[in-house]
Amino acid sequence: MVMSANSEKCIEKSEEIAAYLDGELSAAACAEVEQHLKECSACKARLREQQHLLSTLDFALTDDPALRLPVNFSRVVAAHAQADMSGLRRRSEHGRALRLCAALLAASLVLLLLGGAAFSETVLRPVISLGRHLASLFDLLWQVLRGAGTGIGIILRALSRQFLFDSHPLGLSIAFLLFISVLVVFASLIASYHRELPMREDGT
Amino acid sequence: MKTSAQAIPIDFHALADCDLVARAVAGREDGFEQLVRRYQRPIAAYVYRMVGDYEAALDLTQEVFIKVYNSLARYRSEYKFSTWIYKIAHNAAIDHLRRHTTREQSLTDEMNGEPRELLVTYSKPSPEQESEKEERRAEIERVVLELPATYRELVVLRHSHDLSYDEIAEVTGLPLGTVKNRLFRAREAMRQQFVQKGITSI
Repeated sequence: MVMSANSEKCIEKSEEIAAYLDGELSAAACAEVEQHLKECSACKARLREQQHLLSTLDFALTDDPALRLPVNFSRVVAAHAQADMSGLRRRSEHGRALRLCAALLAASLVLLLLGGAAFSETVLRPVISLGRHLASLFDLLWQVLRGAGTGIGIILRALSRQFLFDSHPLGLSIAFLLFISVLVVFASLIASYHRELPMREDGT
Repeated sequence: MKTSAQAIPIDFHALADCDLVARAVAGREDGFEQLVRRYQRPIAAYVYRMVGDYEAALDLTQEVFIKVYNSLARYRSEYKFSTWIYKIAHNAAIDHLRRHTTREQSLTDEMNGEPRELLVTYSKPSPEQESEKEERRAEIERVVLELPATYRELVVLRHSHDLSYDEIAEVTGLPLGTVKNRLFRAREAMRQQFVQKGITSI
């Protein structure tokens, strides 16, 4: 029988028959399979089996499964994808940016070190001279304020001495009254401050 | 006066995938949305058949499109867009299965003729699947789902998404010979299951 004579070859042929039905064989391989099918009844039966199987699978799998996509799924998916910015920049771009930063840093350091003299001429000197000018200006202001303060102090001392020692009873009594009133005012201020504190902590 | 400023309505259906990609890369949001509209069902169906879980399939589909969007600039038009997007979906589905598959249920389990546990849970047929034809269809689908993931994927890509052996090889990263052999073995295993279950005709 043809079947038994070709049985081993036929088992090998099964895979070819499947590929033949899938339209995946070259013209030469197709011709070979077709020639074999003419000679072998067993393989012809296999071909029919395979055809039936393929149409069964096509029937069952061609349609989408019972999968209902939510309303506006495409819009939601597109919006999510467009909102996700994580991958917009390629890794190579990140690497390139890092390399560029490193190169710029290195170049600036080299410039600072190598061009030290030029740097001190063009950058350091103006900064130092500006600093000196500012320092002298502040010194002048300080001298003016100090002088004014000393003058006011001398004037007040002279006035108070004259007031206290040239008119004894009146000056002393006024000074005593001032002292007492200052004490009273401070005491009341301190007392009111302590009364208010807990209320603030409560947030009222 | 008006005519020069008037926008010409675009027939998105007439545009090829690569034109939509170019539009999306140029910053036109409608280009990407149209791509999502075009591929959402096939990708969701493919991922669903791979993972067998509705919620996970929707999440993964969204993940796939986010990856697609972020990689659009790297897409080369000499490759088919559908193959490229299936490849991204394949990676997402395989990663998901790896995360959710126990050690005993290895993805690369070779078929040894013994009935094996389902890798995925299959949802009960919906009321619409009451008819005899639909029941048969669901039964066939269950047999497909009983295959190991690496075999099931080839059957799904071939019969549900009509991919060629070359495209399947590109999507899965398998050599062409392996695709051909595994597809044959997967179908043979299913044929035996159909005979056992008495699924002889449609």
